[in-house]
Amino acid sequence: MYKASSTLTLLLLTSLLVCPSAAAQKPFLLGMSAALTGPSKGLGIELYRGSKAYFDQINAQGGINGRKIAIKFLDDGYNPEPAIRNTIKLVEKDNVDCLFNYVGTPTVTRVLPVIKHFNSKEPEYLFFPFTGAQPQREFPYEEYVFNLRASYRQETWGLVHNLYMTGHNRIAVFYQADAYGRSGWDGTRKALKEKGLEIVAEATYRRGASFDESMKNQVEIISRGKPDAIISVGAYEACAAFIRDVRDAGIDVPICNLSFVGSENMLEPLTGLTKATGKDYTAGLINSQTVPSYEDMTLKAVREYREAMVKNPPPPEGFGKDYTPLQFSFISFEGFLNAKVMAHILKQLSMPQYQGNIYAATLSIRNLDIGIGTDINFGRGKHQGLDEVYYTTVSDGKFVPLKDWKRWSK
Amino acid sequence: MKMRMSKIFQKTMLLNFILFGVISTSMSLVSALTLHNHMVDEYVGKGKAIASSLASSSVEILLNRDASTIQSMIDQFRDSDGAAYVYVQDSNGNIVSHTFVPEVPEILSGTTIHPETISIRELEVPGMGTVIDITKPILAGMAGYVHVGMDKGIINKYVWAAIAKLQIVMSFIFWGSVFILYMMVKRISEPLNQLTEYAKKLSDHDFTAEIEITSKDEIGLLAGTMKNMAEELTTLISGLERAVGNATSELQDTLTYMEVIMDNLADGLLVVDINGRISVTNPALGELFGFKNHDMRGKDIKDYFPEEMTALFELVKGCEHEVYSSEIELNGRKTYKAVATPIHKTDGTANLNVCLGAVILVRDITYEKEVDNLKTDFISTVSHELRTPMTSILGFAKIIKKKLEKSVFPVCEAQDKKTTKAITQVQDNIGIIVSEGQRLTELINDVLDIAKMESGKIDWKRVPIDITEVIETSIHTTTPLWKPNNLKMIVEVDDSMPTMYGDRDRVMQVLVNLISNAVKFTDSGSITCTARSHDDEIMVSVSDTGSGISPEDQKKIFERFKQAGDTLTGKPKGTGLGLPICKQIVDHHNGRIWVDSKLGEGSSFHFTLALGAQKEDSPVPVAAPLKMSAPRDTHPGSAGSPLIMVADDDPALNEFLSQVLEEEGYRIVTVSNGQEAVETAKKRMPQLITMDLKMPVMDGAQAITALRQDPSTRHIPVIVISALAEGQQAGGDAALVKPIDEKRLVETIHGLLQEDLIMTDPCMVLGKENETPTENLLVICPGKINYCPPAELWDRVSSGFKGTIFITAELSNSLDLARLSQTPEVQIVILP
Repeated sequence: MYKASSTLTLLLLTSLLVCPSAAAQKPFLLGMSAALTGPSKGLGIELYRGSKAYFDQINAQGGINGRKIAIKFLDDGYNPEPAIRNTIKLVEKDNVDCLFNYVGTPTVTRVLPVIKHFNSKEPEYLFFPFTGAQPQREFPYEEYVFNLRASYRQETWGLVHNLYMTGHNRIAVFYQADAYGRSGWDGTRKALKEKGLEIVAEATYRRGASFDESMKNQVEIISRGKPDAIISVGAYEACAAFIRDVRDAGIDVPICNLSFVGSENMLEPLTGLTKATGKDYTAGLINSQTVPSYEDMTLKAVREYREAMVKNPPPPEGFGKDYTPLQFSFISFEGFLNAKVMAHILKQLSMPQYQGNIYAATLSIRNLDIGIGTDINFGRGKHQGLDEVYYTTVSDGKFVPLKDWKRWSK
Repeated sequence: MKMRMSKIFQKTMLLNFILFGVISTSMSLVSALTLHNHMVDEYVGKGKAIASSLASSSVEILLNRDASTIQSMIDQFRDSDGAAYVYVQDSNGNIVSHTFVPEVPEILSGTTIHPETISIRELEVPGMGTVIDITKPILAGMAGYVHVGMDKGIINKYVWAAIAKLQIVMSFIFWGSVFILYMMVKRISEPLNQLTEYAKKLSDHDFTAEIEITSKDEIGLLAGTMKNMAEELTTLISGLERAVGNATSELQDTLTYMEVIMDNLADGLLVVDINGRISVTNPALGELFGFKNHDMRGKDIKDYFPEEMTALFELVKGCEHEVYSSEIELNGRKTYKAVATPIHKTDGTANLNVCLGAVILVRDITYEKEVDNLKTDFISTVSHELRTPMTSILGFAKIIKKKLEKSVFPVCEAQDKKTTKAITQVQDNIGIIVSEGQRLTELINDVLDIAKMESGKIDWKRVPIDITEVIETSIHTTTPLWKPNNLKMIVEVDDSMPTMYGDRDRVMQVLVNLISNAVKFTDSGSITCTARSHDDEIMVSVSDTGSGISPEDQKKIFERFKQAGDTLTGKPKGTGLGLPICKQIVDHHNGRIWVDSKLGEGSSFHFTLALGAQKEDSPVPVAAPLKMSAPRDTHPGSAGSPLIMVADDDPALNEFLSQVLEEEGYRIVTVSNGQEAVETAKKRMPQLITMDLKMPVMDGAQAITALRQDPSTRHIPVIVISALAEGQQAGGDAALVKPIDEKRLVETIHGLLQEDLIMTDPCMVLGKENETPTENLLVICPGKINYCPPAELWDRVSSGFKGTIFITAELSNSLDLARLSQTPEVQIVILP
């Protein structure tokens, strides 16, 4: 921290006093507050690693117009308060160019008013937070946030729709007792309402629950509704624990998780459990994703991603001591794509017509192909780059694209 | 020590503990209550604030129905302190957002309320406990309601935590105070303990003890004072010890002296305490009573000593400052004299006399007693032997004198002076012989009396005695003694004197003796006779206002042949046996006789007589009337009867004598002095003269001399009646000592008037008719001689014989001549 700020000061001094051209040499500083510790640390670390892998490539090529891209990361442990403090610090102290790669609905939703507050003095934007919650997509905060991924509402609508189409009418919701969980719940409810259905059972869990915790209470509550499918809106350790207890309770209905869960992280303990007990805990799982499967090698971005990830970018400095980084994951892939779009925006920023206006530079993006088979469009009133939802299921111990929903028909 | 300290500490500890208990409990209670109320208020306020903020901020969002935005708003409050839950309902009551895990409790999901303003209620939510539910409408309920549940359990938890903290703090303070208390108590109690220890040592007389308290507070002061006290005590006690040591050694010396003295006393020493327990004895006592190596200490006096000793002790212990003595006969062989003295202790403060017991000194007087008895026997024998010839001498002398005067001298009309002178001399000489003989007889009688009394060879009568009568008789008898001296006789006798039993004549003898003694030593004033009865004894006192008796003499006067004032006056006033005889008589009547006297102020002789018991049935006599007034055959004086001149300066005595003699049939002429007597004698020529010696103008002796010088009156017999012993020397024919025995007087008169002797008195010769030399007797007893065998003598006497008894010398030894001689109207002539 001290080192970083002193470096920053030095850079500032250099740019202002010694050489006017040196200002161009100043790297783009992206402020990131994410869960780098705690039960959801895998999300922050993997997201960082994906972005880092791409930025490292850019930086290695000399940066954007000579300016390198650096991520100033701070840990919030998936808790709103540190996230707010981190944001203030990043903006006021570190003077970041923008906020980038925030993780989590409860954190982001709380940070939104802060960002809004900063914008009353000078423009400050949050780019591509790793959450599909509604608040940053709606008034009054949509102005200050640019999303790349589809919303939870879209994810849950897709899941409910597909489940409904495959004959599942009794859908229960297991969700995290916070804004993230509630947005998933809300999305599910809304989607079901369209079909004239209601949530048959709902149970919450407290944020921060680990895999060791028992979810039997929640399973009991859910089972009372006799669901034929369960939508789970939570973090990977709690969701894995829930899946374990649901399967232990003898309920073998499909369990659908949202993209935020961190599919690989969720799968890991279940796979371990499967190996240990011989019982298959990985069956019947559907995870919705906001990025394509990194197994789809036909996509240019996947190839680039894989290439970059082979270099095994390290976790953020000072974190992830007891964390084994995943080689590939939907999250690091999302991080990679986030970085790719961000780099493009920064490139646009350098153009004279935008004059350093990052908002204008972003809105100017139209039909941007980043190699995932879908163009990215931003515009006034459209602050979300992608609307596509991808479904995956477990096969051979890893999530693979779900090609055919019929398999899940009742 | 330790106990004491810990007790103080315990007490203060207990107090401290209770105090702290009360303080902490009340503080906990108050603060818990305050905190609880405060926190409830706070929480309610907080809940209200949350509800209000949510309600005011979520209007638009809620209208948009964006659950996750609301959720994110709720989330920030859910984590806030004390909020159990937050949830938002829409206007239909559906829960838009909530913070429940794992599900919305039924009590909340099932019920909806629609308050117009903020509402507060308390709910029991399963799994959450008591919750204060604060409901706030959003846009007056149009947009829904915000519910904030404040966890009451947290409040309680906080309260308990606060109490716990308080208790911890209190316990710290408590232990701190205990520590301070301990230190304080120690600081106070340690010097106190030291002081106590010190005081204990002092009380154990350890004055060498040291104490080290130098503090300047009260305890230090106390310690200093105690130190000074100890020092002073040390000085004081060492001084005391020295004094006690000195006193002890002195006492030991004294005790040693005393013990040696006691052990070497020839007399037995016995000290008895007031309870009759023996406390001290000496070896001599043991030897006297034959106790060898007996430890008699603490034993009862009765266990060891004869009754006399016990009686003596009983006598002594009651009386004050009296010394009693008694004789103890032991086994009939030994005689001891025991002298008992009470031990009195004068209590200085209360001025009380406490009798501690008695000291009894016992002396072996067996030998003295034997000697005394021998002496008495000797005297008795000698007296008797003397008396026998004396009676004859006196009897014949008297007869010779009478014969001479009656028959010879008148016939001897001698012309020459030489013959006249010889006749006169014979007359004088024979008179002297008679009077000296009588004096000698009296002396011998007294000696014999006392000897008999002392040797116990006297027959004591035992008749009822009216002491009043005795006193009156005695006074009457002695009238001739005190009346002429102008002495006042005062009689004080209790009205009801009890009758006593004893020898009346002897008792009277005592009284007469005492009265004559009183008269002897009293020149002017009064003589007082008193009689009182005490319990079982009568006390009679004779007091005078005379010269008194010196203390030295007081001790001796009851001894034989000792007379008061002997050495001073040089003239005998009696036999010197009067008081010893009195003592013997009184002793016999179980009484005591003693004298109180002061020189120049007079003397009081007291004697007591035990009432005694009636020996035999004898009627209590009516108080015998005085003989003076008793009716008797009188011979009124006629012209032919003999004329008797009574010469006495005391008119009362003159009158007395006149009456007595007139009743005897004599004519009487009285004179009151010697001169008158001589003249009257010459004129009237009386047949007999009674002459007092001490008379005015001319005393009796001079008068007698004058009479004797006148031939016409020379033959007239003169009876000297005097209180003085020298009466016999005055030259009279006979001398009677006052008190005058009327009978004796009359006898004497009869005897001197010859014819009476011959005519009236029968003669009795003891012995057989033919054996007695009767020729001589016929001269005296013409034709009237009776013969009486010695065995019948006492019968004759007691049956009323009156006259002269002639006893042969051989028989005289076997008779009680003394008794016979004292028999009234009996005269004894012992024939050679």
